Amino acid sequence: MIDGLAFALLGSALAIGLAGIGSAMGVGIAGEAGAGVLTEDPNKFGQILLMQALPGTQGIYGLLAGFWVLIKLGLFGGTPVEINVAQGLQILFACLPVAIVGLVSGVYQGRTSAASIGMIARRPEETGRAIILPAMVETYAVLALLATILLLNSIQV
Amino acid sequence: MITDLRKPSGSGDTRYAYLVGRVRALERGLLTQRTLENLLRSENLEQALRGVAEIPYWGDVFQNVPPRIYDIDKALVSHYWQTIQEINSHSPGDEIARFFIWPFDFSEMKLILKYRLAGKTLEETYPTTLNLVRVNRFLGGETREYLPDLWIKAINDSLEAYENYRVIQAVEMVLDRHYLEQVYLLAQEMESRVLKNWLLAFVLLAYFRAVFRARYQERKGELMRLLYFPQPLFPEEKFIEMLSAPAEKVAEEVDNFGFDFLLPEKGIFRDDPSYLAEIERNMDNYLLDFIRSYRWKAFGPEPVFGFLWAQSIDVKNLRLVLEGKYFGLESEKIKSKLRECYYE
Repeated sequence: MIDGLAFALLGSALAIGLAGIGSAMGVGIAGEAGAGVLTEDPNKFGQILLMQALPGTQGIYGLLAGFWVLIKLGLFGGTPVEINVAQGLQILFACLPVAIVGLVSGVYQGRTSAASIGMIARRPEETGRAIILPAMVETYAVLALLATILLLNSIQV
Repeated sequence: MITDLRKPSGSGDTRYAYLVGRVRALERGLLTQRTLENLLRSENLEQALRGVAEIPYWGDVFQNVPPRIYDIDKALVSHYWQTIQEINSHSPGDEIARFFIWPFDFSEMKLILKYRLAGKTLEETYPTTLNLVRVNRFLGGETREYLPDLWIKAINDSLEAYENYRVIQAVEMVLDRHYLEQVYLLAQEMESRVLKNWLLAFVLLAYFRAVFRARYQERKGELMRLLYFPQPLFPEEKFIEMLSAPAEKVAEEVDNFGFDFLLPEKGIFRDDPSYLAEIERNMDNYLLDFIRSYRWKAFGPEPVFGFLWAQSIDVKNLRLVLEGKYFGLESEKIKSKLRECYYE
């Protein structure tokens, strides 16, 4: 029989896994575009690296949410808290914002970063503005993390 | 001509991310109207060459190149060829680089056949992906020598046309037909709707160009038929009819196709070389303008294709400016022949 802990751990795994996938895809897309620019202009490495790293934050947010769940369950301390199915499902649903938004926003931030990398290549003087564009996508990943943390905090175990 | 100019959606093809990034960096080396005007202000060829050396990515191209037309042209072509090869070497760039490689390959094939039919050996080779050893063996009678089907058919058709007409233009016509047919087939298999339309427009304009030139050069319709391959864009009867129709009728047909903007004077066509040069300039500008609308796309093949086309136009413009300076032409005269730039 499945107990609450299984649902809670599924939530933690989804937060870490899906947000991580989003980041990996985003960083990959931005990296491809960055490699293209660096082939022609290696001096732009600093700016390109920053742009490539931006979509990587979703994975960190997912990891943070996942660890938060593990701490809440007392799994790090060695004495797991007993939770019922309802509590487990609550934790699972609380993890979904950062998992889903992390996946989607990671990919889209990667695409925006890739486009901004093109902008830096063509107009290096516009680097400041180029960073703002993918950073806007970040807002929603941060909001999703905030939602997950608030939801997790509101669950009594 | 009806073309689908719907704006592409945001979900582009990320397979081209690397090439688009690379092209964005290379775009800094494309000529702008301002650069061209600066070059036009040069007093002589040497000064113009120094001006070109200041453009990003062009600096090394003319190093140690003697200021002679032949050497300058060779340097320009080799720089352009190198860029095409770079794009071609990264998948999926090869899907679009084909279009830019074919003109080189077909030109080389024309030369090989011309030399062979004249009983001479081609000593200097130009940029090409053709395997010259195999082509020569094939022409020498080793028909089992492996060559792609395209080239076997093109060679056989060319030699057959030469047998029938006994003029070298027949070979040129047949090879041009095979080239246009390849472009047409590429358009059919192109996933990008923008590039598909662009390639179809290219084929259609190539036929217009051929008709206009044939009229001026008074070429026979029979020979011109060799250039034609069946396709729905430009019906054969119209193609043949336009070769000998009165000038007013030609203008009317151009208008019917929706290309009235090609004519320097509305509704008027003239069999005149300077008028023809202006029409060809308008054709180049139309094709550049078409693809330029999609240069902002972050993903997909359009920016890469657009860049390569823009570079071919840059080569044409630089050739006009540098040759103009070499022959001491007036700046205004050179300027009137220049094509538009990819970036204003």
